[in-house]
Amino acid sequence: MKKGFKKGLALTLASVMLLSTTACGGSSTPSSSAAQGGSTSSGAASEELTGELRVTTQAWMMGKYDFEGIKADFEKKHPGVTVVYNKVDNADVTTNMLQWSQGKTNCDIAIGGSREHAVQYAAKDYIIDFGDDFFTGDIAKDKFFPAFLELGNVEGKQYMIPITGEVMFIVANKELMKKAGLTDANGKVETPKTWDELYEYAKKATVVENGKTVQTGLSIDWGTNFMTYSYLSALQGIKGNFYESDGKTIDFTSPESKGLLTSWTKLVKDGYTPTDTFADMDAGRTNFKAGKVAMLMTAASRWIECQENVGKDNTTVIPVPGTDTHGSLVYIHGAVIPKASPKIELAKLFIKEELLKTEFHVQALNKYGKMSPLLAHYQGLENADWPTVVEATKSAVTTPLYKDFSKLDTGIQVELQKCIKGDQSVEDTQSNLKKLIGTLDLTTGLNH
Amino acid sequence: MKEKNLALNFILFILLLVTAFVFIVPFLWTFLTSLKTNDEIYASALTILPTKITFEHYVKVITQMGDFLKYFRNSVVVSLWSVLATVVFSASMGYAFSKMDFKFKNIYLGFVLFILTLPYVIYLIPIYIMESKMDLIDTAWGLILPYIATNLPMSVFIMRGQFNNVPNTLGEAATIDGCNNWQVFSKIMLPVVKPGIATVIIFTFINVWGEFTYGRTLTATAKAQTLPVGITFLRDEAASWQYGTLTATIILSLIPLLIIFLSMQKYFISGIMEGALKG
Amino acid sequence: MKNKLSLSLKKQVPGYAFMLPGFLFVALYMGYPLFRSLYLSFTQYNFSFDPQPIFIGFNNYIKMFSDSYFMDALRNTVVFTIAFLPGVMIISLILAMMLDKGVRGSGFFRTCIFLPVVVPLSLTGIIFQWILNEQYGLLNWFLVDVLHQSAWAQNWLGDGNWAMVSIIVVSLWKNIGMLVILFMAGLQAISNDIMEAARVDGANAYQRIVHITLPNLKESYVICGIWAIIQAVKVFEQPFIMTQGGPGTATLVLYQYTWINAFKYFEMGYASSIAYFMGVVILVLSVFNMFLNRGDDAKIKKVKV
Repeated sequence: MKKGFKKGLALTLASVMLLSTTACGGSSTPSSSAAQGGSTSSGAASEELTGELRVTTQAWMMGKYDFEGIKADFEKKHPGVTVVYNKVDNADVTTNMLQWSQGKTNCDIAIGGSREHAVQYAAKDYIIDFGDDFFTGDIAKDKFFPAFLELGNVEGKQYMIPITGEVMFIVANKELMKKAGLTDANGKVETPKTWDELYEYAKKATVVENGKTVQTGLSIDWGTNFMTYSYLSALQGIKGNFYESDGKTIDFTSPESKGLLTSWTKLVKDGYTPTDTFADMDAGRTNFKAGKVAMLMTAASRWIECQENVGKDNTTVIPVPGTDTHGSLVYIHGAVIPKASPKIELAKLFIKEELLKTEFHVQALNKYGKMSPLLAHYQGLENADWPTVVEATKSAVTTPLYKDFSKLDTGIQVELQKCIKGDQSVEDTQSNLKKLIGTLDLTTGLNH
Repeated sequence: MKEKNLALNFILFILLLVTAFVFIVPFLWTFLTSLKTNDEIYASALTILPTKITFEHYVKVITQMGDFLKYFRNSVVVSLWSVLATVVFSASMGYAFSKMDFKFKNIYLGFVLFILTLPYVIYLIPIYIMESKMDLIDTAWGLILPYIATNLPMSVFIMRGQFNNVPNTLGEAATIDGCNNWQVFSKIMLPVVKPGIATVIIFTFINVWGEFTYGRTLTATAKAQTLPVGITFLRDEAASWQYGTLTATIILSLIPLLIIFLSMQKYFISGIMEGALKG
Repeated sequence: MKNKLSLSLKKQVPGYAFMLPGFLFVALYMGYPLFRSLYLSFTQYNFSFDPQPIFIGFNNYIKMFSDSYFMDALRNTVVFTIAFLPGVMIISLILAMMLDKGVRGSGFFRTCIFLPVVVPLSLTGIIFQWILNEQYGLLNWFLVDVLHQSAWAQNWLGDGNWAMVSIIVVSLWKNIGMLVILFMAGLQAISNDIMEAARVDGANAYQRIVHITLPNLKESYVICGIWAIIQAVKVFEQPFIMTQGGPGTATLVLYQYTWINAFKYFEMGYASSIAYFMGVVILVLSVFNMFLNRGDDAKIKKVKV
């Protein structure tokens, strides 16, 4: 048995080594060409509009957008060009920072980052600045949602082009809301104007059987990625801005802030809102899909995306209290072009001609609710609730641009989770956060 | 006496059965979920067995992962080379630290072991910079090298412990018989520490096969990305999973691991049996 | 025999020959990362905003102790280690001894117990999140709908205390299999002759276990102990995947805090100092573990031969 096993092992090893030589063999060329490419990037004017265009995009986007379609289209428009896609995971900042710090790049366009990433890249001068001459015709600056464009803007320079965005809303299951008596005669869900009203809605929409909650009234995205967005959008709705009187520092101490935190704590204490999103940031979405949640405060796109599970036309959106007049909060996933790329002009063309194209976006809008950055794309969409969403997005605001934003983000998650759970008083939470923001650098950090 | 044994054995059997069951409940649940339709997975009432078996998730994983085969091949290549090198280095180093004497021996050993103590994330950025300068980023060797380096400490420790258990008289007798150092090592010592080698193989393979952080950062394209990295591409934005896809993925990635483990396990047992007979 | 001063250079050659290839590889490959991160731990260096690291001496290390999140992480890691370390060692040893008896089906049971070790926690962690979900998870469903014990159903991952318990239990589940294998290797190495001799001498099961089995596993204690210490102090994936350190900081551990500082804030200096702090803790605990299990090797080997 031993001899046979040894033979088997030897055979396996031999075949694997053969395999691996082919793997190793294919590795050297592309990276060295990238290294060479890096040194010629400055000669942009003499760059030929042919060759390989490498586009890196986050994996989920490839599932929701027709990237293959725009590749074919671009290659047809520009003979001699090959578009090569590469998938990355969501949190690919580190990889980009690292490779660009060495002057190398494996992509000409990197799609998927958001504002903080743009700031970090810009701080080290790794990405190009899209000058005003980029924004002409259909993609002139006024054709964008102002907030989306602003999110890619750092100190007056446009470093990131928004490709897709999200706005904070409350997604509702029409049938469950109707059963709770929260719809008007036409079956349209009523809009709560304040958090106190929303509290009453949550109470009515919660169903408890035998001591166990079988239907959640209101679920709020309080996970690591959403806590800050939820807080800021809610505060925006209540008081029209989320800053202190200096217009710069995020507010944690005003009476409105206190009221908000108290509402949230009360919702949890009284059992109308669960805290399962602390550990599992998708718990709200998953439960909503299972038809167990009446209202979910999250990114608006879920309203279209979940129709697949809870029934077409059975979902709708209602604004987070106050955001219909004050505007909601948005975030984006955008595209940047590294300075180390040898194909900067070609990359810009690709963004202009393909990534901001109507067909590219309309299909994602209709199917997944993924928002396009361009206003023109919202004509004639299928779902009737789009105008509400568009209006809130037009007057939406963005998260502020702080060098230490990621530290503040973690602090907000931690402190608010403690507060909402009742482990820490609202007053203590407010003072902790005020103290924290006092220690942080609220400039953009780009003081070269 | 025999009755006592029977009763004891029976109790042991039951206890082990219950324990084993509890241990595999998450896997059973994963497996059953992977065969359910999305409707059933997200239904209000929880079901254990699928009412309708579907393979749609498996199909989705393999097709949507697109480069699934490439990730799989990369994982196999990286794992096998890492394990091979680790076994070779750890056996020789373990032997040296256990049976031989030389100056500063403990300092060398200490250095190797110290690597174990730090969180591996901290090595990541310096390693990236090093590899970038050597053009090793996005290559198989770019992953194999750090995997060897991070698995050697524990492996050396295990092998050293194994060699410590081998009586010195065994080696001394062989030397008297005229064997040189290499022969003593390869023909006398190595066979005795087979359980240790099997342990190192299993342990290293598991670590490398499932490793994610280094895999993601040190690679860029499907040319070198491994399975754990490829698997994350099945996630939604905001890093969310669809449970059907997730469970199918887990089951699929279990298969090679099980193959290695089961084949090593037999070897492991036969090694133990021989050791017991000899001892 | 171990008097190094008397060894001639020639006698040292074989030792070096066996050790050097591997050692050189490790030293060359890990040398730069090790020393670079040590240096960084004494600097202020934000990878995205600072052009160069700035030397600040021990400030990072001092800052750690007034950083409330660090202290929370430290406390959580300590709690976890205290609960996990003895738990995993004792349960694994008991299971190893049970499996060693060779009852029918032991091979199958051993495989089942080892299975959790084999699957990356980055995947199974999410399954556990699902199983432990308060409202629609498998565990609470089992407790409420099957056992009809509503009071036992908890918010396993959302409540500060239960979250830590859940992390500990999942960590045990994940690691017991590995230690069982290591202990079994150690058990098998105990010669049958000694056991037979003891049995003939009239020693009962308890005496055999306490006086022969347990002491002869010293090598295993050292290896298993170090493995367990490392898994405990460097615990990362379980809390990272299952609770992300929440709720609040209830399950934030040192490794995750290092990770956050390194890859979210890009504060490489501070992250390195936390990492080295962890390294020192592991070192101290490991040395302590080896000290506890030292000596008597000569005695045992003589008995065997």
